[in-house]
Amino acid sequence: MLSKTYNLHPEDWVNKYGEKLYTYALLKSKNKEQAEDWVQETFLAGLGAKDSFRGDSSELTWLYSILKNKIAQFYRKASTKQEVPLNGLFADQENDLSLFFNEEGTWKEHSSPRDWQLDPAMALENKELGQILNHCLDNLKPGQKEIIVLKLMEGLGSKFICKDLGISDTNYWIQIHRAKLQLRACIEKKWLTKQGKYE
Amino acid sequence: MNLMVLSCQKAGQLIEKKQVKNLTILEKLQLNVHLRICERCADYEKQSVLIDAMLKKHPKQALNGQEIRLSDEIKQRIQKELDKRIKK
Repeated sequence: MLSKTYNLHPEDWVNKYGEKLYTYALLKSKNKEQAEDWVQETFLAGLGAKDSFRGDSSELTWLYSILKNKIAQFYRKASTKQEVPLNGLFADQENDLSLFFNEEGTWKEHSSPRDWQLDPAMALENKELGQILNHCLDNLKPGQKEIIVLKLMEGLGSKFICKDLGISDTNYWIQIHRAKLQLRACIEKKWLTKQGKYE
Repeated sequence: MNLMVLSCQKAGQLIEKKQVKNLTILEKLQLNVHLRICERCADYEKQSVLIDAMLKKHPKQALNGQEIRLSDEIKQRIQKELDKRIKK
């Protein structure tokens, strides 16, 4: 009997995907040990469910969905524990947009982007700017940081993220835009202040 | 209303959409026209792309500076558990 194999390589999982899954797990729990356990459970469950892999997503995406289910299960069981909220980001939508745009959707003078006077290649290496980014990420509303970070995680894909956040495809980049508006305003203020160029 | 006129708010959304998926031909046109005449949105785009590039380069910053490396010890532990079951 020929059984089709879909190129799963469990022996390589830890090295190839360990850190990626761990990053996602850390977004959902502040507790390192908890995140480590979830990663281990995910690999073991994946091995056990090997035969159900149909190859219609990548190995990594498949593992992500197992991890996501594990985490959901955990928070269902431990109803006293609160999942890091990823969907608290829809309140006050009009309000925070009106900080930046007037009724026609044009930038308000005092909060429109300014030139950071940075060469992008240099900016990547700039430690000060890195620290500012760090600080400003932490000042975002719950969920806003996650939506920015999740987008950049390899192998997740927007379909997965929208499901995770319980938002529609269209809402996805609208929410990214909102989060970015806050983030870039914070960075700009701190960065230009440091350069003595913020009036 | 002129089809080519895009508000800055909408332009920003398209700038973000563009990084996730393809824009329609109309959206592309609208955005390009807008970016040519609106310096502030052009700056927004530069900044948005830079922020993503920084986070990609230093993913650690995304997580409170938490070490996102799994320690070798933990990796070995997980690998061992996995190997035990693979060999069965």
